[in-house]
Amino acid sequence: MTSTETTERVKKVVAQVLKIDASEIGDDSNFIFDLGADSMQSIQLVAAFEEEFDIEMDEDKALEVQNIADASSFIQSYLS
Amino acid sequence: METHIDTYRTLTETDIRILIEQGCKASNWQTIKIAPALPLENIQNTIFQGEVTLGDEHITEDQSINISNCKVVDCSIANGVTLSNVHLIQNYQILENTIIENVNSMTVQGESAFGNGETLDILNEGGGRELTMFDTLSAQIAWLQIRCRHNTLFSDKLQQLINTYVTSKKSTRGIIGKHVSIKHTNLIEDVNIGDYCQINGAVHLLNGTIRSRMEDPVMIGNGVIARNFIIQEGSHIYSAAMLHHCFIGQGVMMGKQYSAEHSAIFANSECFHGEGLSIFAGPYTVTHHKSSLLIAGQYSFYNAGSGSNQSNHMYKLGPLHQGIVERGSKTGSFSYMLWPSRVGPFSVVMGKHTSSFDSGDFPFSYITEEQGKSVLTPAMNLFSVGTSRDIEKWPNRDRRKAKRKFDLIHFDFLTPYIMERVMTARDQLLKLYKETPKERESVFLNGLHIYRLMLRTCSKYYQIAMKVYMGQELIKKLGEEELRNFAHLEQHLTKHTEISAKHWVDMVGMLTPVCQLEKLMQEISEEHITDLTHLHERLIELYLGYHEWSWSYCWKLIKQEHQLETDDITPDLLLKVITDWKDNSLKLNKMILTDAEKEFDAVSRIGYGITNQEDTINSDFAAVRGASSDNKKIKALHQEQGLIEEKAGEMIKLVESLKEERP
Repeated sequence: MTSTETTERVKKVVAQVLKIDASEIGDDSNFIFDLGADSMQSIQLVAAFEEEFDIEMDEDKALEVQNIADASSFIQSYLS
Repeated sequence: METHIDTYRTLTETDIRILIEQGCKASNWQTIKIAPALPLENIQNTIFQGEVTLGDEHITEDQSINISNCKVVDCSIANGVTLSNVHLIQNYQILENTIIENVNSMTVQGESAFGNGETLDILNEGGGRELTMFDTLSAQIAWLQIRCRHNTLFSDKLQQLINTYVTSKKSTRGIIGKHVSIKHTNLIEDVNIGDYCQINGAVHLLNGTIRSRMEDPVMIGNGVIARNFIIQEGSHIYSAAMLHHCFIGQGVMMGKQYSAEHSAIFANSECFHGEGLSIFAGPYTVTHHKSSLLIAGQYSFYNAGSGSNQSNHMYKLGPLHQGIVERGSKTGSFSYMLWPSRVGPFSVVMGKHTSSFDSGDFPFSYITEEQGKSVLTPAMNLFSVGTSRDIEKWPNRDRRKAKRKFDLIHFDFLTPYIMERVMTARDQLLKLYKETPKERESVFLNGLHIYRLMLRTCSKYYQIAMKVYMGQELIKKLGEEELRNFAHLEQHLTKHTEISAKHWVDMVGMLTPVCQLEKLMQEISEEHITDLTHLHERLIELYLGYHEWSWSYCWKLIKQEHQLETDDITPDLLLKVITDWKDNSLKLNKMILTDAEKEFDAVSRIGYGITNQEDTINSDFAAVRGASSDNKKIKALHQEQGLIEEKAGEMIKLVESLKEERP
């Protein structure tokens, strides 16, 4: 999977979990400050990414990820 | 103090003349008896009626009795007592060195039990769970009265024990203890007052007992109105608090116009500003703010945010509903819950919940409201720094100084009572996760919505709690004795673990296995427990038995989780439990630390600084809040990381060393 494809799927998941329009999400959108994710939604996002990509992430590290691009890279590291 | 009438003498003609010259009158001077050496010059402008005794045989000059501008009817007054401007005092025995000044009326009207035996409509305002109060009531006996109505024979027998005790408290004469101070108070009727009690500016105290002791005096302050009440040692009731049919346990603080009716409020609770109606407020129930109404609920280790509100009435058959808020829970500002509902232990309720729910099996949850729906997020409060602080603060805030502490309180955090629920929650969440199609956004359970994506994650959090618990208990157990060899270790770990302690109850503060509770109830039903003293003793036995039964529970849990059929302990098993404890404690601690550090993030700095300049904001924040690295709690959490590693290393070393000596 290319990084572009990963990023698009990340955005799709984020839009679903945070109930926002995918078009509002940019590559550098910050989960908390730009997209309004609270602590519980952050945990849901981690769970949603695991499900979408069928991976098991290090949760502590996953929760440290701040924006879409970093999330995409982080997930990519589990896929490669 | 018993008065020994043979040590007194009647007044002589000279005595009577002196008293008359000092403005005193009596309906019959012959019914006034005095200690032989009593000086009379400090008794002035006083009317005596009925049988009055003054002083005792050991009176000395500096212990003279001072009475001025009073009407004294059928009283005995001990050495060193001062009565001044007491419009009427009747049927009281006043013990040494007590001062009563500027009191309108203080009387006992016929036979009274002084608040003992009054019934409170607790928890269910409509009745059916009446609590009979008495002056040695504990949270646990109240719990037995209120919560065990399923066993009518038991309830009847317990009631008989209480009734017998209440009968023993009846008297036509009240007692005001030693070194009591009662000043500027309007009306006191049928109230027994213990030693060193201070009453200053109360409006009306009617039908009650104030258990006060030198080591833990009770204080009643300005504007207090209390009718049908019992107040135990060390409590402070002040600033126009209003009590009507209320029991107040030890070390309670109540004031700032708090109003309570048909409520029992136990040790170390704090009630200000708000209102309590039909509440069973177990130890450490705290409600500090205006507009908070606690109604028809059971609480313990509870913190009510401002405007917390509940309702027990659906305008149908009346106020019949009840709520259970289990230990360690909080309700956020302007939260509302419709009863009947149950909030599981250590949970936080935020928002308005207009449908009943039951989160009893999901400890450490957030219960929030989203567009009118109640949403449960399990286990989230496990790693809140608030929970961690609460656990530390409760034992430090035990104000009780009385030798006899009535409420029996287990402060432990992860306990069999909690773990039983943790296990249920973990398994239920995993089951729901497996059964729920991915298309579903949430599942609905017991009146609560749970986001599907949280099911598996939250079950993992419960698993963390379980591993921390098993390890912490094992480590505690290993540290109890110096273990000589592996056989000794095996023997130590399996000793008394045959005891059944599968299911547990929280008797508002005291944790005990259900089987032990049932045994106690049977002993009461079969009249093996014959009085309340015996019952108190048995409850203390249950309290002290906790650690043994707790280990029995834990050992069975360790076996169950590691598929161990027998008590055949292997070093590998112990090493695994210890290593799991270390890994999960470090993880949990780190999560708590992350939560604590949020208190220093950019959001926490909103409103700081006088301009929007970042350096001003940061300087202001640093001046007021300090740096996260200097925060006491954060520092302790950082240190904890090292201590966990150290303790795990120590225990692993111990097991490894004993392993070598294994036969």
